[in-house]
Amino acid sequence: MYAYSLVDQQLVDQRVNQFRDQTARYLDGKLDEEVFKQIRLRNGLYVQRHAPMLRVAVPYGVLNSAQMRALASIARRYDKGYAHVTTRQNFQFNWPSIEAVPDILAELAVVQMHAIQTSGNCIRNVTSDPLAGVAPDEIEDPRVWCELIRQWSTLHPEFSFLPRKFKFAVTGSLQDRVASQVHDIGLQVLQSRDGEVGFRILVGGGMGRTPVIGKVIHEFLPRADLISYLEAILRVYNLYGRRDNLYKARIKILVNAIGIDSFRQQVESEWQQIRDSDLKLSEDNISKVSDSFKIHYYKLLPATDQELERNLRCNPMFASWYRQNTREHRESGYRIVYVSLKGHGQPPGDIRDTQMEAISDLADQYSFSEIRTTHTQNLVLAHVEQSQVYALWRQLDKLKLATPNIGTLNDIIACPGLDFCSLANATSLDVSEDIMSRFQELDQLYDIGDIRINISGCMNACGHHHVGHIGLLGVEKNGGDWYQITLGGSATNHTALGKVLGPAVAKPDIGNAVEQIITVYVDLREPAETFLQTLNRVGRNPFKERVYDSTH
Amino acid sequence: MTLLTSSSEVVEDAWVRLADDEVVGDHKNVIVSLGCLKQQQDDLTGMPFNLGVEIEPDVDVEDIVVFLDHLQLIVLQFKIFSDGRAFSQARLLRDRYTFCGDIRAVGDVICDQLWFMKRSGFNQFELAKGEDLDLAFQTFDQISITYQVELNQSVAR
Repeated sequence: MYAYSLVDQQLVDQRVNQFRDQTARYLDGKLDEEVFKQIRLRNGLYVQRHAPMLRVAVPYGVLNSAQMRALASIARRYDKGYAHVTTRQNFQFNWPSIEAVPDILAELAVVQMHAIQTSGNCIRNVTSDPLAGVAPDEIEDPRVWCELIRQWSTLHPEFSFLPRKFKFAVTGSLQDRVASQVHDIGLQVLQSRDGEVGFRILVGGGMGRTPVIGKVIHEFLPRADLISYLEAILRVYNLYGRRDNLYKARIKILVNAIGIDSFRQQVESEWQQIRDSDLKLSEDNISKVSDSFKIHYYKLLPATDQELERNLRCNPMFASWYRQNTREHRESGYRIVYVSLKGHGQPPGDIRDTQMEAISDLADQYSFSEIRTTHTQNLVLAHVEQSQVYALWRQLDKLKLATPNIGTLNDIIACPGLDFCSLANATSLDVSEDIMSRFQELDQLYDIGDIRINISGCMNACGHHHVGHIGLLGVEKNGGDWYQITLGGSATNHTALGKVLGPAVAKPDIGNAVEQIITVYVDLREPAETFLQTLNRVGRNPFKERVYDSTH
Repeated sequence: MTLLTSSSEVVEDAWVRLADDEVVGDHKNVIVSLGCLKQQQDDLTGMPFNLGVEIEPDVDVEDIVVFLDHLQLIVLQFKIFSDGRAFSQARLLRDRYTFCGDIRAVGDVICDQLWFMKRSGFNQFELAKGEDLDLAFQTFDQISITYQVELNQSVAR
């Protein structure tokens, strides 16, 4: 992973001191409530339903074991012994006190962590592929570009008070695992026929109240021009994005209002003036950053491991976990291992302090001390020798972190919902639990296949419901929790926004409604047909009929 | 009225704001609105007084480029501190149009934003009512690291 320099460390340390001073002034009554709000948000601190919530940045979802141990220690001493992995690959604490936050940030700074720009109307933590650098289908490691964007966007003098929040995702692979089409800016690394690497740039995607798929603003931007082009987009947005209405302030609204062609023209004309400025990246700039990423010294290993093959044959439990929770690695003899945070009875993405420490040990032992977070709220140990996979599985299993359900319908994305969030209209966690409890039979789960269920407790769509194959959106109706069902969403290469199935369903019926949708799929699918393929072939009516018959 | 400068000095404001129907008279340093400047260009430019203009956050700074040679001061507004348009206006004036007169922040100018303002090209600050001058001095050097100014160097380290 990226090795922080003294400069990076100094910035984080100074930021902690600054925030300590700002917090003290606020608690002293010397800092205006609204000013402090904007300051604390830019330091990751929300004031939530029960207590403040602190969102710690995990730049592009990569952390080391020492950082994970620090998070565990904070979870134990300042929180209730657990933390939460978010859909932006960050870590969240739900129970710190405002007074303690400067101390928490100081402890994080010791391990080069911080909460800078994890909230507020500024450029947020850049998300990326949890399989960066190890995916066989990768064109180029996106983390180098993420790090350049992190540096460029951190405390940017001009872009720290934008009309609204701003989210980047960067993918370097053919397969989009970062939901690049539903971000304010999505970057896709491409390679031209003559081998030149550049970016396809999408702009104006997003979820929230007005879900929009990003539009291509540049088909192939040379890599040297990345930062100047981003600066041009941000400048146009900062100057012309709406500031009169919170709900119309995202860049997607601006792009839709003037049209992508006109927006592109404005950006181009801005860019022409700055493209050859200091913002142009030299090969030297790029390689300095890429050289700051520690190289993993992989062993030369055979493609197959006899011991592994034997365990796969003899241990069906291990075999199904291996099939479901591990992926092919670019290097021969290595495997990518997902750590499921979707165990039965566990809110999606929640992890205990003791589990965090145990994973740190496992990362030290098996995976170059590195851990990754995924936007689907799981963890990844990205470099496990095949011969060690069985031993790792046994330990993960003891820790209840080996539920073999990655990609299945139990791998639910859910926001914290009404249980924690002051914006939520309805709960998410008990609905997720209800659905998971209906599909505990593994054979049945595997037979159903890969289905993405995403749950958001309100229109802000933190649970990405628009891009779930099955999306549930919590709405409040007559004082009760109801859920609107959408079908057909996806955040992969063929990104689509789900369409509403019908009237919202009351909480007691929602689990059953989801079960009925699955039953219709299983009944109607043709061999090897995925959920989305069946839905596209048969249309929504069969699902609609079953759901609304069964809930009445 | 006192002003804070980006070199952490406190100076008396030598400038007066003229209403659109007011005459310059004996004033040595006058700030006018953009509308006034456009209408009375001939009466205001090339005269024996210093000229400043105050522009709204929604003004495209390109609109004042023709006047830059006659301007000693440009006043940019923060109607509310969280409206960040003036950061871009200042940056464009300095970087693109190489304006080397004074750029002043007025309105909801709070201590905790001075660092961003200075880095965007502002060099004078009319602090909002109630802002603490002592604190304002400290905020300039609370953070000494900037990735952007030296994007190339910072990357190079």
